Amino acid sequence: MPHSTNPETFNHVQRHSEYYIEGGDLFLLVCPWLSAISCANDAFLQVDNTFFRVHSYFLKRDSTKFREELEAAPEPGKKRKGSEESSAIQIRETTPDEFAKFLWVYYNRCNNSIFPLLHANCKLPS
Amino acid sequence: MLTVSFHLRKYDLYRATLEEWTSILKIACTHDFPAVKDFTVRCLESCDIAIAQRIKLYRTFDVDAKYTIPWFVQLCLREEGPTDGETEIMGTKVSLIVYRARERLRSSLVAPNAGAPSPLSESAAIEAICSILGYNSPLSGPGSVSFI
Repeated sequence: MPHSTNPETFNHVQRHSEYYIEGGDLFLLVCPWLSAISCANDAFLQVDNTFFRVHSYFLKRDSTKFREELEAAPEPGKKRKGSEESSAIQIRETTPDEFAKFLWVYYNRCNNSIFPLLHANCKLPS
Repeated sequence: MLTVSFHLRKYDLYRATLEEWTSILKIACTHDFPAVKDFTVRCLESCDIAIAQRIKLYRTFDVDAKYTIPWFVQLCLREEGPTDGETEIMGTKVSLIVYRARERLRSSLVAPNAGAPSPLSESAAIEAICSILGYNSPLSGPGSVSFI
C-alpha cells in the first residue's frame, strides 16, 4: 500500500532520470528499504530514494489502491497526497530500477517518443 | 491476418528479461494492478522458463488458474515425475500436488484383466489437477475455469 511521506527527511533523494516527467501530476518516492524514513541514519538509507513524476491517470485507472489513495480528500491544511514532492506517495521495498521497469509497461518507448501508448489510449495488448 | 500482425507488433514492444518481468509482476501484485498482472503473465507465457521455475513463479504471485493449470498438466502427463532439482525448486507442497495427480491419473488406467494401458489423457490430467487444487474443472460446465 502506498504511504505518504514526511517532507523533512528528503535531503538526499534524487529525481529519476527518465520517469520524472514534466507535466506529470503524480509524485512518488520509491524507497528500496523497509524503514527508510524512520531510520536515524538518513544519509545512508536515503541515498537510493528516488522521486518519480508520472501521470496519475494510469495508476488511478488500473489500481484500486492508488485510486482510493489519490481520490481521498486531503486532511485540512495539508496537500493532496502525491500532488507534489513534499506529499509524494511512498513506494516501499522497491528499487528505482524495478519501479522504472514497471512504468515501462505504460511508457514503452516507440519511435523515440515516451508517450506512444498514452496517445493510443494506453490499453495493454490483450 | 492483419489483426494478428498488429497484435504481434504490439507485443514486440515488450521485450524484457525474466528478472524484469518478475519485478513487474511483484509490483503489479503488491499495488493491485490486475491488468498489468495479467499482461505480464501473458508475456511470461512466451518466455523460455523451466517448468518448475514457472510453476513456482505463478504460485508465488497467485497467478490465475487458467495459466497455472496447463503447466501442472504438462508435469502430470510427462513420462518422468519431477526430478530432484524440480522438486527442490517447487517445494514439497507443490511437488506433492504433482505426485498425487500423477498417481491418481495412472492408477485410473490400471484395470484388472486389461491389456495394454490406455494412453494418458489431457482431460483426465486436468480433472485430477483441478480436483487436488480445489478448482472447478474447465471440463465440468459453466462457471468453471477456462483455459487459454
